[in-house]
Amino acid sequence: MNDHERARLMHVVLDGEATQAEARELDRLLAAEPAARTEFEHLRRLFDGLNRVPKVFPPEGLVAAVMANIPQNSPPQKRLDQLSLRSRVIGLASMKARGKSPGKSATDLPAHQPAIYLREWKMNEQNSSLLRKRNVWIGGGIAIAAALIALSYTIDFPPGAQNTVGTIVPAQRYKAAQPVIEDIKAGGQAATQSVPVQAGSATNAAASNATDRAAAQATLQNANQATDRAAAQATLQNANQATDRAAAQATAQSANQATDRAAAQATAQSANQALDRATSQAISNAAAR
Amino acid sequence: MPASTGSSKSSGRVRPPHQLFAPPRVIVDDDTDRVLVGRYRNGDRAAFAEIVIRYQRPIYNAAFWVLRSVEDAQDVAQIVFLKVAERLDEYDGQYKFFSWIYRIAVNESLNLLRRHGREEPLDDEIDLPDADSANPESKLNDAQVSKRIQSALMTMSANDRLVLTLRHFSECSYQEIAEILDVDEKTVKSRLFEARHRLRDLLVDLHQH
Repeated sequence: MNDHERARLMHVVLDGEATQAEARELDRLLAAEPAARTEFEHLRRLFDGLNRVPKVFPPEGLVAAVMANIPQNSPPQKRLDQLSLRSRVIGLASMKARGKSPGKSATDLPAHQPAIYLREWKMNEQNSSLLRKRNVWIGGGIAIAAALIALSYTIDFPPGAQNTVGTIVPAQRYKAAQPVIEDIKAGGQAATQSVPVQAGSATNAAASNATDRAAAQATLQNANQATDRAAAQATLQNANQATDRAAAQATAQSANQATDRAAAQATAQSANQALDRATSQAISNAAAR
Repeated sequence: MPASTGSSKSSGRVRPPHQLFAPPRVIVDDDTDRVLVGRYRNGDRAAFAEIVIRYQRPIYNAAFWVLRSVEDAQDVAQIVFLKVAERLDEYDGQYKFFSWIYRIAVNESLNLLRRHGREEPLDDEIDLPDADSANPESKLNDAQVSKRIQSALMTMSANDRLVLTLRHFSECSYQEIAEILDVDEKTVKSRLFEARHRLRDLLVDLHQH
């Protein structure tokens, strides 16, 4: 083994990449040759020095800066209109122009929707479902009320038919599925502390990571809170609108019922009066005869 | 008594004496990477934040030692993560995620060097980090050696700095370096040997003590 091969063997051993056979061979060399031992000690010092070079710490806020530039609809396969890829730009434009298949009109479906819109779209879908349910309830209420009114004129049941009112379904707050950061915990007091840029220790790395996690979590929490607020507001508006509509409908129904009752009463009164008049007329006629 | 090369064994490889108490590797869990990538592909932005947290330090370190500039390293680190987010659908899960992200970082760093035209000698001395040492007596010597090595590294070529960074600062194996640089392991071994040889020449006075 020449000097070059011997030096290479030392490097491989010190790199931790040597096989058992290579390690034994170097041990034998070191035992036999004092010059090899000196050479190996020099190399070991060089490796130790390299391995002791402290790590450089990235600046604080790198995570937040990166996340601020990540599109809201993060999944890459959903971003069909990613403009940085020329093929996608051309592909998307041509897809919009020609439609999904030849002979069909182009559909201008949005291929790209930021997450906030995606979440809103989901909520709207849920809201439309609630709206459909509410309409069913209102329609059913009207039908039941009409049936009760009809019954009240035929069998006079229930006696307190005027108490019948429409049913208002209590609105339920829809809470969108929340993205959960399972691994990201708030760093607490430690997370707010400034971390030395070049501390070169595991403690600083942990603190730096905690700070970054807290920053990322704060960003995500703000987005979630804004979404929650929008969802709550939309739900309240829907509930208020439903209540208003139900109240107006109940009022109209009551008015109609009152009108009907008044008309029926008037008719009955007129009939009674006519009967009374006819009766008295008959009595008068009989007396005259 | 001859210096021992150590006898502990791991996966057929022998752990050298200087690594008996070496800190754990920067990147250790490829399964976690796969989970995070999968979550992000399903729309979980928090998963990508976790990826950035896991890799910001090694990526920034690699960029810093190649570019020798804090500002350039910060720019490259941001570009790397944005490209990862953009191209994650191109990532092939059969390869290690950290090799893929490291390759992006290396390419971006070298591209920036090329855009600068050529490697300019450093005008100002860079504020390099101090070495940690528990022993106060050896701290001064360790710190001096560390500073000398760092200063010498700064004068070396980008290719030498790159391969030494991947091996000693990112603690990548020969195989991992080969994957990142897209070369075979023999080439990695050779480049490391030559780079250390040149580094020793720059530190010749250290060996005389």
